[in-house]
Amino acid sequence: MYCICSNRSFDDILSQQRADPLPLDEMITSYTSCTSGCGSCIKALLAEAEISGLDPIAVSKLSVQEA
Amino acid sequence: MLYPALFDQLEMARWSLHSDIPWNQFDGSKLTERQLHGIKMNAILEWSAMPTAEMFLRDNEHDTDFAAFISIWFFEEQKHSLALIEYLRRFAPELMPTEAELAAVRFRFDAAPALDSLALHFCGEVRLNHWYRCARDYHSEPVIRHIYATLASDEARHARAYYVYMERALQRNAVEAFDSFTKIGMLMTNARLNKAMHPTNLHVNKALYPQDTVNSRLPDPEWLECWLSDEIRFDPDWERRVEAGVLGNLSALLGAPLKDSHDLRCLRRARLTALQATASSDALALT
Repeated sequence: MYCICSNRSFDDILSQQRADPLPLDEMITSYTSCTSGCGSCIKALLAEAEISGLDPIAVSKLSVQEA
Repeated sequence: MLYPALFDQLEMARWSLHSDIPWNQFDGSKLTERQLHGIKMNAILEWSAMPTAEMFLRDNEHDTDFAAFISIWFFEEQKHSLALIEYLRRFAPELMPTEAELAAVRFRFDAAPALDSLALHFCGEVRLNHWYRCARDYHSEPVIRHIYATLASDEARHARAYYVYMERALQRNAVEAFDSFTKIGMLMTNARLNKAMHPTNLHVNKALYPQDTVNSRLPDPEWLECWLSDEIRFDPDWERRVEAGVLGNLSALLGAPLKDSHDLRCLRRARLTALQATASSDALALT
């Protein structure tokens, strides 16, 4: 999908998250304009980030469990 | 049904005309007569949601889900008009549109294919979001800046809602939806075909031609082009963002990379024939 408030595709936003992971709420505030825009992409973006394993907090919890 | 979830999403984002607009921050020194004229014209343009809603309800008698969504869309668009009229009432009452000026943009639209209108309005909402964001940057008066930013976000949410109905249409009727969405996408992203590419510029009633565009029925029919070119300066960079918004979402919808209108034309040519052939062979298999 493409976020018109951020003028960025979801792929583009998630690539930045992949390159420089942030907690997901910070991903939204830093890599998108969703909080000053309409906000309708937030849910879908968070879901895609979680499905793609791009949530650094979830990943760090997983690492602790694995250790 | 998509309507209940959309209702919740839009309900959660709802703003109050009275408590969410910072009316007390008005600064009249940061406003010109010409800017006020633009606010009046936009108030009248937003009022044209009325004949559009009438068209949507008439052309979607078969689709009770979408017709229910139109009730919210119509409410929010009329509220946009009212917010701009309220601004004028408070700060420039002599420029408030008259009832006759508002009534002039309510006229019957000819029947149109429902999916064409859906795609057209998806593109129109993307464009309007960018016009209003550009208008917010152009204005320095704080209250009208806030209003345009608020309206821009509403239009983006409407675009997302139309998008989910487009997804549903592709699942239900792939050939007709693909044909319609690619055709309208090409029309709405190619400036050579259509200069100010918005539904309010389209001819919608043969019997009333040439007074059958919403813009032609404004008190100042030349206004929109001047506003875009000479006032808010909706330049090629803004235009590129609109095109990216339309094509980026069509790309996700149709599952193909689309960097420009030419790509969309190529995709349409390549895939439509194949889709039609599959649909014909499926129909044959059923007989």
